Amino acid sequence: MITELTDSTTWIHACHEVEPDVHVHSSVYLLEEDDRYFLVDTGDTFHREALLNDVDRVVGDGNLDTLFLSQSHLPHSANVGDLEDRYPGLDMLCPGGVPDLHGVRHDQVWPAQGTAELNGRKFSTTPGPLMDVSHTTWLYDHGSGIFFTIDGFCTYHAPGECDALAADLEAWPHEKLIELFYRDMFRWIQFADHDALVAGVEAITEEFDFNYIAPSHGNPIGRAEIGAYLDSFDSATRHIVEDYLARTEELETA
Amino acid sequence: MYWMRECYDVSDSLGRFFVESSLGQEMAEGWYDPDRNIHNLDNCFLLRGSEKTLLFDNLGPNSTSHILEVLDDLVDDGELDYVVISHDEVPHAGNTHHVLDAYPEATMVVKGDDGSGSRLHELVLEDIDDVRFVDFEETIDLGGYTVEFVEPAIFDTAMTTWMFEHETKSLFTADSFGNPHHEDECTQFTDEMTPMTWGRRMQYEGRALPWFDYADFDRINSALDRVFETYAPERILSSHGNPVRENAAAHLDIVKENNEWIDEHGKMETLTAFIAGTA
Repeated sequence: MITELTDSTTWIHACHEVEPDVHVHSSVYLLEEDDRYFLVDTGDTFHREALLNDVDRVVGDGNLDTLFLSQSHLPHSANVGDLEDRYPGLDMLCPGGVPDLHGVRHDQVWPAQGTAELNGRKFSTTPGPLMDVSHTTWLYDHGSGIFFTIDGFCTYHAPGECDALAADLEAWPHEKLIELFYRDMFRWIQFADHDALVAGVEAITEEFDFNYIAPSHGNPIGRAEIGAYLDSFDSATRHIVEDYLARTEELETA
Repeated sequence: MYWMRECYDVSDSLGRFFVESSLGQEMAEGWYDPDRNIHNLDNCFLLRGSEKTLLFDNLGPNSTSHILEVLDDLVDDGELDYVVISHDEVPHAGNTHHVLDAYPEATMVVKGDDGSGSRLHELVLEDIDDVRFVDFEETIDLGGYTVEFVEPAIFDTAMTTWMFEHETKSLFTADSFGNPHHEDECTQFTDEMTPMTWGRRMQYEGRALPWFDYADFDRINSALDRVFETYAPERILSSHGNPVRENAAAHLDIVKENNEWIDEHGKMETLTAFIAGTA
C-alpha cells in the first residue's frame, strides 16, 4: 500500500491481522530528491514481496541508492539482502552502532545523535526514548519535516484504518490499541518509571519541528494529532505498569 | 553441552574508553590489561541429550558458515531436533533460516504470546511449518537434559525467553550477564579469566539496553531475585558473556550492583557515542 505524505515522501506499508479486529503495520518510507531515492528501513520478511514491490513501483525509473537502517531487529532490517539484489550498488547507511556486530554490511556510518547531509538534504539523528534494541536511531528529515520514529508513537489499528493518516481517522487514537501494542512489543515498559518515560516521550516531540511523525507500526501522525496520542500513551503505559505491579504483588504474597 | 561463539574486537572503542576516560579507568581497575586487545562476543549453545538435540540461538550473518560447520561436526546423524530462538534479533537469530534449511526436521521453538499463536514473532510469520510456541515454565525433555523456559528479568525485544537446564542447573540468559574479554580469553570460563568485576560487567549491563534510561531498578532486581530463588542456577550461560560455572550468586550480585549504579548515575552511553563525543 502506498500513501503520499508529502510531495517527496511516501509511506509504503503492509499490515496483517494480529487478532480479530486488530491489525499491525509494517512500514517503510521513501524519500525522493531529483529522482534519487532514500529508503528508511526494509520492513519484515512476512511482507517482503508486498513492501518491496511497492518500493519498486514508487522508484520506477528512478534510482534507489541509499538504505537507512534504524536498528538490527528483524522487522526493520530483515530484507537487506533482497534490496541489495534488487538495487545493486545500494549504499547502506547505519547510524551509530557497530554494524559488524549485527552482521550488516555498511557503507556509511552516521552519528547516532547529530546531523548529516545526503544529496543536499539535511537530517538529524537521535536515540529515541522508545526503543528496545540498542543502537536504534530515529531520523528527522529537515526538508519534509518528517520525524521517523521507528518503534516510537506506534499503535495497532482497526480494520479499515490501514491506509489512513491519523488526521483522517475520527476515532483515533485508540488507547486500548496503543496499550495492546506496547504490552506486546515493549514488555520492558512493565519495568519503567512511568512518569519519567512519559516525560521523555513528550520532550522529544518538542525537540523537532515536525510536520508528521512517521512510525514503523502505526498511522503517521500530524502535529495537530500528537497531543491526543500522548494522552492515550500516558494512560496506556500506566495500565501496563500497574498490571505488572499487581501481578508481582500476587506472586510475592503467594 | 557445547558453547559456540563469535568474537568482535572492540579495542578501538572500549579500549579507548578504559584509557581516555576517568570513569573508564575506574571501571577497568582490577581486570583490564591495556596490552591485550579486548573483544565482545555473541554466543549460542548446543545441548545433546540422549534422545534429542537442542540449539539455543544461532548467532548472526557473519557466522553462518561457522555455525553450520560446527553443527555438522556435533550433531549426530544430522538430527537436530529443536532450534530455540531466545528472541528475534540478528545476533541471536540471524541464521535461523540457514539452520532450518540444513536441518529440515528441526522444530523451531519460540516464546508464544497469550495463546493465540505468536502473531508478533517475525520468524513465525514466515513460512516455517514446524513451530512450537512455548510458555514460561514449559519444559522439553532431551533425555538426560530437561530444559524449562524462564520469564526473563532483563531483555530487549518482547518475545524473549530465558532457559534453564535442570541437570546442569544452567541458566541461559539473553540479554544479560554480558562482559568483554581479552583476546586470549575467548574460550575461557569466567573463573579462568582476569576478575569479573562490577566495572567489567558494566560494559554490557550499563550500555546494552536503551530502556534502562527509564527503568525502575528495584523492580528489575526483584525480578532477578525471583529467577535465582526459583531456579538456583549454578551456571550462567549468557548470550554475550563468558560462561559462569562457579559462584553464580556472586555474578547475580554484580549485575544487581550494576543496576544500582545505573539507577544512581544513569545509563552509560553507547561506545559509538563515546567515540563521537556526543554522549
